[in-house]
Amino acid sequence: MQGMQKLLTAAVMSLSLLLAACGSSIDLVDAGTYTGTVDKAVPDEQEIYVTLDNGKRLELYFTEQTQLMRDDKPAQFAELSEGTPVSVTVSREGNANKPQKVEIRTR
Amino acid sequence: MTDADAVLVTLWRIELLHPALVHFPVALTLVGAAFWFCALAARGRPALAWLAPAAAALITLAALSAWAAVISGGWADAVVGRHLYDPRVVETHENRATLLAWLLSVTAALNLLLRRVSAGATLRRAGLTAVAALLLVCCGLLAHVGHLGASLVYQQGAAVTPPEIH
Repeated sequence: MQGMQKLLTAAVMSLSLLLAACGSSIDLVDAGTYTGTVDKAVPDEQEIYVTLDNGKRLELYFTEQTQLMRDDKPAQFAELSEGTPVSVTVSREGNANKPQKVEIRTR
Repeated sequence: MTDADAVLVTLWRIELLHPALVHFPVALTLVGAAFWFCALAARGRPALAWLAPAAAALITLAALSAWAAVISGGWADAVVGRHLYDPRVVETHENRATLLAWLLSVTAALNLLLRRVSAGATLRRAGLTAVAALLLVCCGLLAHVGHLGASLVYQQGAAVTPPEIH
């Protein structure tokens, strides 16, 4: 019986640690403009993950309203890739951030 | 029902493959774990000797079906992810489901190894304890991942398309 208690305790503690270590890897921010770096671009889903300079990570799905710019000119989604520095203007809808404007920073 | 009353969206949608597959690892993990603990308790009873190989088969199938659920979940996310109220939930669901698939794979492999390889009493006891602990963790994690998946459907309407009533 004591062995079973130890086993259950170990299982519960392991599960708690696993849950703490493996949660959501995306964050939510207030509406505004932020600078950061693209850490993943998914062309098929028109989606990018951006790590902001403040350390937060956003998942942004492009919409028909999203403007993608480079040097004040429209840019193509294909120009976004891992490591691309960007400035993103996002709104907040529900508990999701929507990209209004994504500007590829060149300087 | 007539065409004028409602337009039902087809069930043949890629995002619905996930709910079709995901209940296999749920059932197989729980029944596999139950069989495994019953087999442990029934050691030395020849009439119940079938429990151990049955448990090994169920846990192995649970691991395989968990990976099928993870892969089909990725396809579903590609369709519904952008429409969710809180996409952080789907991210957590995905991360922890992938962890569960790995844990089930390790558990299945260790259990098969213990059945195939003859080990000393101490090593065998340690192996059985590890499998028991892993199965308990897997069942707990399964309940949590399932709860997150259910919240995506019943709180956020993921992959739910109600008919348009005219």
